[in-house]
Amino acid sequence: MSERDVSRVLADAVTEAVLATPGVAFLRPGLVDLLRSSALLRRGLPGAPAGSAGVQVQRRKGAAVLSVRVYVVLRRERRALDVTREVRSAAAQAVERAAGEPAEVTVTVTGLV
Amino acid sequence: MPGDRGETPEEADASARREDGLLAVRAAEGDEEAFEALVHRHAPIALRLATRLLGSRPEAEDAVQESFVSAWRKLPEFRGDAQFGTWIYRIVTNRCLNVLRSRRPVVTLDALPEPQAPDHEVSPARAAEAHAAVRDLARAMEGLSPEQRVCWVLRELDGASYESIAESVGISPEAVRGRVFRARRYLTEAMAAWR
Amino acid sequence: MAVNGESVPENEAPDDEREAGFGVLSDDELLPCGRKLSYVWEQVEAGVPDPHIESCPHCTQAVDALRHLEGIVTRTREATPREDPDTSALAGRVMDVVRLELRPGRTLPLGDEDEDTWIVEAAAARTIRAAAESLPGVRAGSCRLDPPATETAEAGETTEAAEAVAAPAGRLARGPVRVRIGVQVPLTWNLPETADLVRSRVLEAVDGELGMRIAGVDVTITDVIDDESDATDATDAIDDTGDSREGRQQ
Repeated sequence: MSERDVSRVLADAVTEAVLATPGVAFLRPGLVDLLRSSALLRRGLPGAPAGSAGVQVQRRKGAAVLSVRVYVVLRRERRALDVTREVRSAAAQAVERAAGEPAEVTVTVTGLV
Repeated sequence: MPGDRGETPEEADASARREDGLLAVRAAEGDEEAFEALVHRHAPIALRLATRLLGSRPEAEDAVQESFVSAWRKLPEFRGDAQFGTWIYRIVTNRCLNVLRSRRPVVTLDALPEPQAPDHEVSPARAAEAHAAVRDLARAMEGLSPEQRVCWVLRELDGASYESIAESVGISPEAVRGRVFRARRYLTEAMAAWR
Repeated sequence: MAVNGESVPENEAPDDEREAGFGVLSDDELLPCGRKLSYVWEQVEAGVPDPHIESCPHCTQAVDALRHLEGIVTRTREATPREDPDTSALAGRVMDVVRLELRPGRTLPLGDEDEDTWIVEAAAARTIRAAAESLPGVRAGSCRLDPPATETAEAGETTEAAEAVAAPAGRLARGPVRVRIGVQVPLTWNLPETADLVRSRVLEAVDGELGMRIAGVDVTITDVIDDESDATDATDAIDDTGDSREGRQQ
């Protein structure tokens, strides 16, 4: 499997874990990221992140560690920070299970419904 | 709603402008719900204007829709120098002017709005005559140049001042006067020829 | 001249070329009595009484023609339905496009300094505005959140640097955020007290609903609302908040 295939598998695992977190409405990136990722994907650059626009998994050049970025829209019923903490932890665990290595997980809330 | 509270028209105007200003600031900062409120508040007047300018309701809806989308994109630069209502009015005017310019000179009578019967009681013969005259005018308007049509409609049907038309279209008030005069002359000739 | 909207080319085709088929060729018309048609019509439009115009058959004919046109214009105006057209479908189509082109803006830190959780400005601003508007009669306008100064930038350059680096969020500085909100308040409210009330509601919401660390809340009262019915609400609100002081303790 190529690096990209691995990234895609990981992204799927993360997506599943994130959507299962209570308080998450759906995955949705901010506009800037949507443009960035689609432009990179079109050009087929090796640095292009894999996965749905709401979850991006890539290995930063020169870094040993996996980088996972999650963009979520949350429900208002819980405190946003509490949900994002659970999302982070669920995503990190999903990568650990699937890849056997730790990852840096960044979670950004792009909306509240 | 303004008017329900026994406000004077001036007070209702002032509070509407204040609310528009607040909504515009929020929309410029990315609050799409505030923008939706602005659309609901201003689309009816915008649609009336576009329908008068283009003579076709479906084309008018397209023009108004594109005008509001354009306004959303330009809002961060808007900065509230003018009132939102004035600003959208200008965007719609200019978009309609461009639509008129891109039209082939074909009279699309089937797309003209059906005039409704006026409220006051009129004899059937008079009513029919009134309808015919209104239709004649609509047909005659198709013979105006885009620039004449826009200036004349804004002046005669919207009651806009020469200065405000000048600002909307981007020409001098004198040029507006000239266009309105030539439009009136063309239309009086047309109506006389068909009487 | 620049118009803040669609661009209009400065040079257009001369209008005279469109004067079709009715034997009208010159820019203005000279009536047989020597008066210019444009002058006669201008006098009529301005409502200026003119003895020559009133007695001259040529001028009178020209005025009649204009009046005839005006009569039909009036009927056209009256023929328009009184009710505003239904624009809800149109508004829906506009919003469909707008929602694909949202501007989330800057990214702000959520949680502690060593965490990696963030929120976009537009989402936080929505929560903060709603908190301010929980006070009756208060309308929230501008709401900006200023991120902490980035490590490499001066404090004054904060906003541009932060906007330019909207992603990746992980590289932005983390620290308490400054909130700047503008509100419109009912006329009868005490303004400094109102600013404090807004501030405390905002702090409550930011802490309880978001979990964001705040450096401060700048409240600007941008306008007073002068409506009758809002004055009634304000009195109720003052009685309400006057009794419960805990909301103001920080």
